[in-house]
Amino acid sequence: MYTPAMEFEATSALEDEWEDEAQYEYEGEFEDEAFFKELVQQIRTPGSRLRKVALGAARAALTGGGGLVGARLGGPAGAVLGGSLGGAAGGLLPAQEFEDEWEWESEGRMGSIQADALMEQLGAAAAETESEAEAEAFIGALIPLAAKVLPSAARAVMRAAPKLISGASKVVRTLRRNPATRKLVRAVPSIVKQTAGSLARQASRGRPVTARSAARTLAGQTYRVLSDPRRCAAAMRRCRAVQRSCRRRAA
Amino acid sequence: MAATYDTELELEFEDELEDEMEGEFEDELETEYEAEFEGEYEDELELEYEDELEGELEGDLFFKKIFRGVKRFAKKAAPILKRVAKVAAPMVGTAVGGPLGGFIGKAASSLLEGELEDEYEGEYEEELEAEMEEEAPRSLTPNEAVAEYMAEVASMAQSEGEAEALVGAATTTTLSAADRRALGKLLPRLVRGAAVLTRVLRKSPTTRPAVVVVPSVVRKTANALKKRAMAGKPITKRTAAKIMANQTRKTLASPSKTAKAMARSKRASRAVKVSRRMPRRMIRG
Repeated sequence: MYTPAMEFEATSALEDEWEDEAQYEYEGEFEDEAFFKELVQQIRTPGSRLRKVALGAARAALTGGGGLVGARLGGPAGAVLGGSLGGAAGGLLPAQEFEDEWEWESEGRMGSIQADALMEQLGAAAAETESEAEAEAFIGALIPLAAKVLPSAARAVMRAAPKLISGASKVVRTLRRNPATRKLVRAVPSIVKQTAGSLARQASRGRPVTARSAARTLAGQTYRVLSDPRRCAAAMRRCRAVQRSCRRRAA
Repeated sequence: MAATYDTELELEFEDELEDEMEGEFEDELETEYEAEFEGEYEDELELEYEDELEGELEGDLFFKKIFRGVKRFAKKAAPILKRVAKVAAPMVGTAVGGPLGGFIGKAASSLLEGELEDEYEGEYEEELEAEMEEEAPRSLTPNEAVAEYMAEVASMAQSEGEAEALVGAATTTTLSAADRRALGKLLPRLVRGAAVLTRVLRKSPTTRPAVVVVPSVVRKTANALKKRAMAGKPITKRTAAKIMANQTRKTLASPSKTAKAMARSKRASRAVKVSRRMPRRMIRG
């Protein structure tokens, strides 16, 4: 039976788990340790496939995936052309920014922690679902939650929400294309959170946050996380930790 | 296994939907001012809801026009939407509650045939309260209005993935912090249910505009679940599946509910689009 006391217990336990996360960085007990070792190896190898995937995913966030298609058809020149076409296609999604004067709920730390956990759950669901469109639904749901996790970023995030939703869903589409990189979808919640943080910093420095700048920020954070073995591994472990915690509670 | 079952259920209903929708009303709903549809649902739209909503819009001629256009759509699409409701309810139930949720949703859609009415109607009083709250004249919060705008964009999106991404975003946007606390780990299931409902409605150009009712279905489901949680009753994936399947059925099978949800959505999303500097107050929706 659900009681308010259970909610506080749940969030406190989750918070403690996250505080201890740093201790688990390279411990061998983690079930996907072999995957992570391979990940580190691949990313560190110059011109590795995963590094290319990180670049491809970042391009998809920015240009709508046209860069990848163009590269397949016509090499570097094709990539440039494909990128331009992708940018044009991305512009078909309404570039209207959401109203920036809207009030957002001030949820306090407890609400932020819960939204953070939900983001990781949604990222895990997006990695595991068989349906492409459903994965994109889960990822789309991350954007408003990022505004809850970082209230200081709420205005900037919601202003650029259509572009961020479109960009994030294309990143996921790129990662899910290959079974070997599908697991990396678990890193997307962290990418979105870092994007939100970056947008908040930009806004606080007086730099206008537009749809275009938000897309660039998302692309930059995508590459930054996916191409760095430490960041990528930490992001995926965070997602796994939350997922395991939820399953333990369900059990 | 859930994914396999989802695929089987979708395949089972996909053919049924395609037969129902092929060519029937495709060209008839291009404009808001088509001739009145003479059909069995005409009287239903003369319910008290119409006076209520028109009262809200008094003096607001532009939005009265929107409501009339939406009413015409709801009348014309009513037979198709009722059939879609029969198909969508079990699919939403499966998406939210797994294979058992699908059986529950199928039972919900059986209510459209008048079966099991006594057994299921009134079982969740919180559901009825949540419905009445949602449909009562009230202001939408800014979050809810933005969610309605996202749903409108989703109804016009070029691709399935894009539409579902926007509906996913609309689902989490429309829910308050209290809703999310109550739903907990059920939220991803609601997102999945909303995505499936969007997919079903987008299958035909005739029903595609009805995608805007998805946030309303999600809100009613969330409110009902929250009330159950506050009353100390358990909320499980099965409960969530049942409530969301019921709300899907009720909203799509009733032209007046569909019209009301669509009119509110259109009004809210227009407010988001045109307004640049809003005073710090609720938006009337």
